[in-house]
Amino acid sequence: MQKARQGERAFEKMEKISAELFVVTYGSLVMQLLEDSEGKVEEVNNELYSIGYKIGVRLIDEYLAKSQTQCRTFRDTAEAIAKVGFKMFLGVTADVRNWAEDGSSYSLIIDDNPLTMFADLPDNLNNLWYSNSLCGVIAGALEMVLWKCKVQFHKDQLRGHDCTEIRVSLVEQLKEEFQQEDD
Amino acid sequence: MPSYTPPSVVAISIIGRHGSPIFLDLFEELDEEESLWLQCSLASSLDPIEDKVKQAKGDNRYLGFVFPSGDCRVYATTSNTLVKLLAVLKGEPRDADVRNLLRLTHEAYSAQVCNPFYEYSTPITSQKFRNGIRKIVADTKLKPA
Repeated sequence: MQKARQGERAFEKMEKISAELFVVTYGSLVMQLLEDSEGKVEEVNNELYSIGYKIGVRLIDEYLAKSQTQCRTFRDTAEAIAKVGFKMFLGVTADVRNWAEDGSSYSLIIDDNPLTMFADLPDNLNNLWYSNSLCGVIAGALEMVLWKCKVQFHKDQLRGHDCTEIRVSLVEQLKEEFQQEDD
Repeated sequence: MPSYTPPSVVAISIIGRHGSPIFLDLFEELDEEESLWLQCSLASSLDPIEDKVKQAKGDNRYLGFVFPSGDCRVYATTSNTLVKLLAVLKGEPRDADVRNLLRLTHEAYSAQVCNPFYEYSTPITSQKFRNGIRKIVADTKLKPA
């Protein structure tokens, strides 16, 4: 509950743009990638992830500045992403579910993915993860705060699944490295 | 005493620039002859539509009744992108209801155009769009004028 309120407050501080413009821009980006890769869908999935990753490593600083949340454990990061991060940047919240027994992975369930507002996936592109850049953003952001994770789509309503689900799995917790000066 | 039938939707059609067919959905069972008649009526409506468009002012133009076709009437609205949205209706519905029907159809078409996978000016094959139009027609109550 507290994270949800933090999310609302952070959302209010953010500058807003037209959702339609953003969504149509994202759609054009996906189409251009498909054209450039000459229909190699796996390549496009990877490119979208890459693009998202580069966004995530930058976005995390703004997130920390505007939201002022503290994440001490991996568990904390889940709620922070779902209720604060998603709210701040996409205007919607996600649910955290299906925690693994050892607490090393969880699912983010998105009810209303704004990126897919107008999109309707044609049958021949059924192995495209349209919003894969979201996975990249989450992975990039988490890595900057020393949680190295594997983030991937499990289900997408655009593909006809019953929900949109991103699985986040902890690979390792990174340690801060200090460069040793040679004497 | 003749039984009263309320006005109903026979077909919704979208025609693009240069008369290219974008979308057609039928809401009544038509045999081959009636189906051909419908296609002819839609094609024949294009000329009176052009005439009305030249006389109208402003960009998004509701043209109203444009062409009679047997016991049906063709109503149309156009947009500044030269796309024509037509509704073939039986009976004489209220103007406000027809305006509403065509407005909702136009909104559905605008959303479809924003689908990045849809190539502009090609026929719309999306089942999602078809379901959307069916819902609009199902929810529209046409009252007689």
